[in-house]
Amino acid sequence: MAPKRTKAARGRKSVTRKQLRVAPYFVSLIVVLGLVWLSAVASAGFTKFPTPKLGLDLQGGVTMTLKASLPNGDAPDPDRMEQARQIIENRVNGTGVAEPEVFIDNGRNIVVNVAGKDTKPDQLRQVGAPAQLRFREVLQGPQEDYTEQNPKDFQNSGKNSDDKSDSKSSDSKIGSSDSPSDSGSGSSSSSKPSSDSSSSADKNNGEDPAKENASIKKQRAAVYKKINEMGKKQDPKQKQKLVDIAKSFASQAASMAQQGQPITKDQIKQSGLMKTLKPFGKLKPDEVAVLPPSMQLYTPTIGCGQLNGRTPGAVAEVNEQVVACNRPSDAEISQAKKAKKPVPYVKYLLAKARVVGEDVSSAGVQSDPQQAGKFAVGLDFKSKSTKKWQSLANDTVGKKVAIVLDNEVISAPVTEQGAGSGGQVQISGDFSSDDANLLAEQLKYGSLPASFTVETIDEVSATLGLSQMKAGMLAGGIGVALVILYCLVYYRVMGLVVIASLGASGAILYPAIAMLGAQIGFTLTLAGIAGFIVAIGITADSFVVFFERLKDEMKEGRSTRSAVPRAWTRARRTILSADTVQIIGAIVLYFLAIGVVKGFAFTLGLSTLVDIAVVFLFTHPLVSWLSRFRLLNNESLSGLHTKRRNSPDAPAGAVTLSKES
Amino acid sequence: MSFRDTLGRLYSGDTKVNFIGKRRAWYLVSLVLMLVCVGGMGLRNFNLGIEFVGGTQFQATVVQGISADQVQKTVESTGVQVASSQTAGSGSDEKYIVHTDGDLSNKQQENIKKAMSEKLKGEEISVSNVSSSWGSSVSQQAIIALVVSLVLITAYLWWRYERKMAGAALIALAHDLVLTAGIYALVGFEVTPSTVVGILTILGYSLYDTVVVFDKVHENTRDVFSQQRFTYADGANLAINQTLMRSINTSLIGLLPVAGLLFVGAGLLGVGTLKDLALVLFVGMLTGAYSSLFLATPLTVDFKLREPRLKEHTRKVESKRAASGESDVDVAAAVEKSVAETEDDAETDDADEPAEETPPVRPKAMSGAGGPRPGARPATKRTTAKKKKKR
Repeated sequence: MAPKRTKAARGRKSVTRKQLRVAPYFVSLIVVLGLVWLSAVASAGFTKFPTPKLGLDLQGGVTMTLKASLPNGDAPDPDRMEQARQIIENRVNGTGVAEPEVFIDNGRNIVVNVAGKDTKPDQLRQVGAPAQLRFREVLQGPQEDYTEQNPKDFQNSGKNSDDKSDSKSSDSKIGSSDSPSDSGSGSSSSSKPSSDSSSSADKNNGEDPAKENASIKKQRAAVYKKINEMGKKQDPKQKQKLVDIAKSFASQAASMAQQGQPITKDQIKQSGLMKTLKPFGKLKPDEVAVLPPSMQLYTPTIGCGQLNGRTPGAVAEVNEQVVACNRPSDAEISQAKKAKKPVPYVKYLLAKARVVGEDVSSAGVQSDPQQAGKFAVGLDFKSKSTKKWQSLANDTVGKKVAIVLDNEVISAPVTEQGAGSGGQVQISGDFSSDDANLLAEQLKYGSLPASFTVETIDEVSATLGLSQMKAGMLAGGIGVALVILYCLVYYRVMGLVVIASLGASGAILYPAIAMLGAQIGFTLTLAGIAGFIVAIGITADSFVVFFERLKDEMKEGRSTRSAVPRAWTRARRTILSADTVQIIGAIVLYFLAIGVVKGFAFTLGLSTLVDIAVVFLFTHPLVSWLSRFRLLNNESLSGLHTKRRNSPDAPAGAVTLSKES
Repeated sequence: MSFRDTLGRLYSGDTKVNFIGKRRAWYLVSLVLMLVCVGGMGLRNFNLGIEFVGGTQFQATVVQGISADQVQKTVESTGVQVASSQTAGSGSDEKYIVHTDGDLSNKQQENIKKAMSEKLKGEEISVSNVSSSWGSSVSQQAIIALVVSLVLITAYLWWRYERKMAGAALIALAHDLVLTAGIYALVGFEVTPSTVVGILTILGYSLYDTVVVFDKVHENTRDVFSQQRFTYADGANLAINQTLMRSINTSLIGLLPVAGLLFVGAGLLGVGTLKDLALVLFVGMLTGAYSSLFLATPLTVDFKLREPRLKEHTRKVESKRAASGESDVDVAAAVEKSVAETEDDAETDDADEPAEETPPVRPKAMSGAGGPRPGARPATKRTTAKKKKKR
């Protein structure tokens, strides 16, 4: 650089302005670029070119917004929202769509995004519904689960949702919390014809819940076939089909249970069925769901991991018998682990549901009248549903009634005499206040800790996505082209600097977006593209501020070389102030606004940040470097020279004195 | 003044439009415009999109030879009332858009999708379904965001410049928002959540523009009391003229991409986020450009002139001018001088700036900087010395 200095200093006697050392700036820019690209490529796994994660409006898919509210209209607290998010995520996974995204937006909305074609919007719509709550008489069970399955292996997503839950099933009981006044005695027996199901329960054990459902039959046949093939593979010598073995075992076990001598664990061990029927343990939860209840219950290799992993709603059908498992609490699981015992899962065979969640009007925690310091859950039924409950309670005195939430038995208390006397009952047991709270909430909302309503649901077909994508690109292209054209006309050679700077911005932004997509799941939506396009103006404007300053300085007669540092000092301030205002706006928008706004604010803010980086690390050093050449002093090329209206060589001070004629 | 000459002056920042002197006229213009807009909002309701009223929108690519009416009939044949049906966009992106009001059950939606798909020979149907409360929660949240960003940005401007500038910027901003909203009401453009977002962006943009002018005003008038050749208003007016080209450039460069968006959004797609955003930005940025020149800075001057010290100063300058018989003072030169002397403060602040001289070289460099303006040099030196003493 030394020779240039002497050359440029010509004509300026004693000025020894230290030149800006531009190399460090370019080096740091290259380092920044390198880092961003490296991390982008690394997030893409080094195998493919990093690409931004596209929003659903650009690639097609379904996005749904669910708004949470508590009965008093307030927003739930973050813990509840997270709990709800996990439950909803599990339900979405349960619908079998590929790679859903479920996240909390703005504190009280849960957004479900499912990309691609096979999005099942109708099923998605249901995920925000309160869980299906059913009251079913326990026909058979609890029966030990012999498989020791880990339920997590049977969930589609890695996350295990409902951590806390109680299964004080066997200890708890339902008693009347009414003053045992009228008691109504056996009264009811209700008009419901289904009320006799309990007495005829055993007879119905093997009842086929799908006798009228052709599609289930078909699915079942497919599963049977699969099982038989797996059985053949496992033991080619085995002549009998596995399904037949399981069927005959189930009916044998059922008849033994009927006689009051259920098959014991030892008997099963001796029979060798655990090994023979092993393929059943490999079925997916939804394959298990289509098997007849008796098979689900008695086949010793079908475990609660599979049963609890069934799609939510798999056992929601009111008029069918179903099999369901309990859900041991974390405490019980860790206890069992410590003792190196299997986790206490049990299966139940359950009768038709005679009371459902909609019959419950409210539930709340009460203190347990029989056990000091313990809690109970009080349950109110809607007045029109009271009869339903009374008939169930009166039919099941001394027996267990399972409270089933989605696929799982959350409690299976014994009905006490008098429980069916009114519209209120109390479920008591060895509840801590947390246990009781949870149960009460589950009874109130289903498993979701708040009620959710579908606010928006957008189904974007892949065609529409593609056309929006193209439109966004085209708009961006037109925007960039217009700005470049304008800058070239107006600033001439300096226009090239603008192009290079915009290029540098793009070179940082692209990998940044790709990386953010891979790292924090940032998706580029149409609104995001709009943010970029709007930001083109802001980015280019930083150059305008700088160049106009430069023009001012040069108007005063300075050479580019001396004008650049002076102009920069002043322009820098303006650029920073203006960008700060923009960034404040973007940040506030990002954190406070909902819906498409977020993507827009994010890209706008990001571009503004990158703009600052580019102006500081690239544009200014570049101009500074260029100013050492004669190029920018060329009046017709640089675009920085203003015409001097009096005489070209007049000192600047005189120029402005020209008076209008 | 010939057109060419005007352009030349504009280009070199030498325009001498008296923005400040005629400020009452600008205020009047703005006031009238705002009244018209407020009246418009009162008389005509906003044309609210489905996000605000709730409903379902079905979209599908246009199939040759089938009109929107036919599609509407198809939808109605499923027993659902159609609120509106139209085609939007152009070329291969042309689409049917069918709106229905109220909530549809899953079953109804499925039926409509099926019917449309059959009618349109298997085209894919995009459905978007919004509850009527969604729009209001978006707006509610947007208003919170608006208030918070206003507070933060005002605080920033206050800290960075001064209270009066922040106040003026806010009024200019309110003016932009009212005008934009009024134009929406009067023209009847559809208001969607994207529009609301766009309005929030205008806020940033309008202030951005204002800040650039303020920056120059700030610079020009920093040392207004150290001389008696120009008033605060003169300095501010000069700042507007000096940044005029930049303001025009900024607005143009900001508007060009938005125009691209608008062209694609409204022309090709016809509906949706792009169009809504682009339209509101376009309108908002135009009003923003106007208000930062004609409203924000004049208001700042008015606010500032309430300070007794400035009033006094203005009076002094004017009486001095009257005494000397100068009618056409070269404000630019005077400001130039004043700015030149403050410059070294700025440069001292920027000690980290690599381009700056090391302290020992300083006096030399200053004379070097002043070099091109020989006439100005003694004055610079004198005032600098005076100022140094003062500090």
